[in-house]
Amino acid sequence: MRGPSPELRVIFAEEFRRQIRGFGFAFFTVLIPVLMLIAIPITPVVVDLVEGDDSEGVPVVTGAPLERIGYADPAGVLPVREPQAASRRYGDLAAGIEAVRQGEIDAFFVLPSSYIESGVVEHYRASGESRGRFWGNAAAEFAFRSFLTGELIAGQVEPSILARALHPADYRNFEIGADGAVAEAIPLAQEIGELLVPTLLAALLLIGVLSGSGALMRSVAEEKETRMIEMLVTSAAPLSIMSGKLLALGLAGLIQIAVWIAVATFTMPAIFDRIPNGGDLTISAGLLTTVSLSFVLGYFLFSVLALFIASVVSSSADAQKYTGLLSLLTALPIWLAGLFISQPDGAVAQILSYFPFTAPTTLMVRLGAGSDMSEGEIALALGITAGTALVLLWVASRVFRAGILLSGQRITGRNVWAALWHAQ
Amino acid sequence: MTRASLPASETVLRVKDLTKTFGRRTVVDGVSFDVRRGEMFGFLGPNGSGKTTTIRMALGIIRPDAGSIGILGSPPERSVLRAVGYLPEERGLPRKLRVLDALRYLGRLKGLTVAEAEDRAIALLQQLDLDEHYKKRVEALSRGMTQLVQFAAAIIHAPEFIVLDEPFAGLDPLNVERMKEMLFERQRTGATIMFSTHIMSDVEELCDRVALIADGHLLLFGDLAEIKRQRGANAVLVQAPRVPEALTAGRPAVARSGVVEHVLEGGSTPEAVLRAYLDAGISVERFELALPTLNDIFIEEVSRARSIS
Repeated sequence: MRGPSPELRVIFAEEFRRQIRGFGFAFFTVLIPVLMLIAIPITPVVVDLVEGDDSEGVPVVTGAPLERIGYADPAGVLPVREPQAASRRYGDLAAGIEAVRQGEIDAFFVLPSSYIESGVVEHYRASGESRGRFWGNAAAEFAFRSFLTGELIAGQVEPSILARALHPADYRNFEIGADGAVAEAIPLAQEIGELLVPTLLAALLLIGVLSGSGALMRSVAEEKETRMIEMLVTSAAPLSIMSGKLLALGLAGLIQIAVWIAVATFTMPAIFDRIPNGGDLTISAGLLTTVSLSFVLGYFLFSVLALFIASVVSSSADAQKYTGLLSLLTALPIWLAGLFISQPDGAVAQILSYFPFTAPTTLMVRLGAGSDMSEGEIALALGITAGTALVLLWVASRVFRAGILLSGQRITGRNVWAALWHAQ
Repeated sequence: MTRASLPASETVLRVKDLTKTFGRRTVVDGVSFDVRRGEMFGFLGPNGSGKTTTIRMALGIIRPDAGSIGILGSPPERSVLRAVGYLPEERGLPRKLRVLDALRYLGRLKGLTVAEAEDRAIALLQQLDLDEHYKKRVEALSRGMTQLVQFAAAIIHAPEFIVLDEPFAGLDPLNVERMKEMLFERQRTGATIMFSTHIMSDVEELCDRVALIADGHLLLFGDLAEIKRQRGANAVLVQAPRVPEALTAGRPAVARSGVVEHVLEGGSTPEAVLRAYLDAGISVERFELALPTLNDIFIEEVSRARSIS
């Protein structure tokens, strides 16, 4: 069996190097994991904000506190206990400050004598910490608040009541059908997972298209504009040039996705751990397979579309304009996510599922929103996407060489036809 | 700077009845010529005459509507084109790429290993006096420097046949000389060179044979000296102490550095000019037939072709 030509390998290596060295690739590859990591400390704060400050809601901390905290109790409202994992008691303010300075604890709280009347708690921490001051404060205050709640009512009620007060409810959800039949609802974690994972993948597809396909389109257009392409086509077959670029883009995209998924594997459980009743993020295998397939086919389709456009435009400025078209086609279903979530099987959702350039993202968002699409409908939408990508690949490979002639001309159906004709 | 003597007359490029039409416009119409191994061949023509389209067809970049092409004994296929170096007319390299990376990339596409491509790139950059710039991005170079780098890319793989489309356009005189010297060097090592231009002095300096094209039609093709001889002398150059009155009656002769040019007009012949000197008893130190310049031929041929069409 013949392997890829040496020229294809050279073009692949060069294009891959160019892709991963590009600003867009580095930016988005790093940005998503950073956002995921930031989400870990933010989650409890957001949850806290969402739950509000009402006295009925008792914040719940599962697992270890986020920070090592200490406290002093001049108000005398907390029981004196043995040293605990959650927090450490100090005799006075000076001892607490020294503990912070020595690094024994991250934050030190003082309940002043007026605490019961005023509710004011003093919070001390070291200055110049490397981490964000706001998030460090918020995490420590959240942890201390939970501790304080438990301690204030400890001894006032039965231990079992206290435990329940700290963790008042685990919900089981049921749905009543139109016929009166009652069925257990999908667990919250699974519901969130099945909405979150496809929607995230749709967003990642948009980012991938923006950073990868857009860069590829601009680079090919630049090669045409500068006539570099003429030097390339005297060295390599147009199909080798195109395949090399396409494979490089695909590999760069896969690496990007692999980095995101690898980071998500570690961060998502940590984020869900910090959500009350979050449990484990789950998603059904069938849905995961379908959205993954949609993602891969969508990435392939938009890569081929980028190459096709680059084949017929004559300047990188023109290519820049068409990058907007690529992102519009990818983003449209995300913009309509609200509509899809309320009507996952509505007319708009159905139409966009069978239009090849919106099908991959629409499918991901619809399935995440709980659409009742049959297996046949899903297969048809994916088939349209794959079929369009293959037809476009064939056309692009025909036009690619002849497209060199279209220097300085606008992209029109007539030009494309002329390019196809010259490729005969 | 010396021209290499031509070795065997083996044909490196042969185009026959080449025709290309874009829409309703025929840009190349039945053009035929050949380039012999080891020679420096000039492909001349005014702007928009079809030179670049002919070169693109010869290199298989675009397909002709009619006619045949033989390059290094084969149709313009990839395997053959590996032995060809090409400098396109509109120049440019990927702007974000570093100079060395761009040369390595293009060298590798021509079959060099990474080490070979880098070694040759550095050597060429040194020759072009660009060795300080090899780490720079292409976008940081001047237009002339970019052109030299692209010239280096065209010859990095030591091609048998070098095709340059307007290679000297936009270069300063120093770099033009440097590039010419490198072309002579390549020719001495056996490379065949074809370049297109509309600067006639370059062709007269470098080329043995030429083809002239205008509006897609081949107007002239052959040995440059022979073409000039066929045109015949249109003036004589005479070095003598003075000019006979018989020759200055109509209009004064033009003298440059002691040499007088007598334009042969109104049935005047070189013999008549010489006789006028001898009859006047003036001793002639130098008497030379002035052949038309390539520039004269170019203007005359192109003007005639356009007046006919």
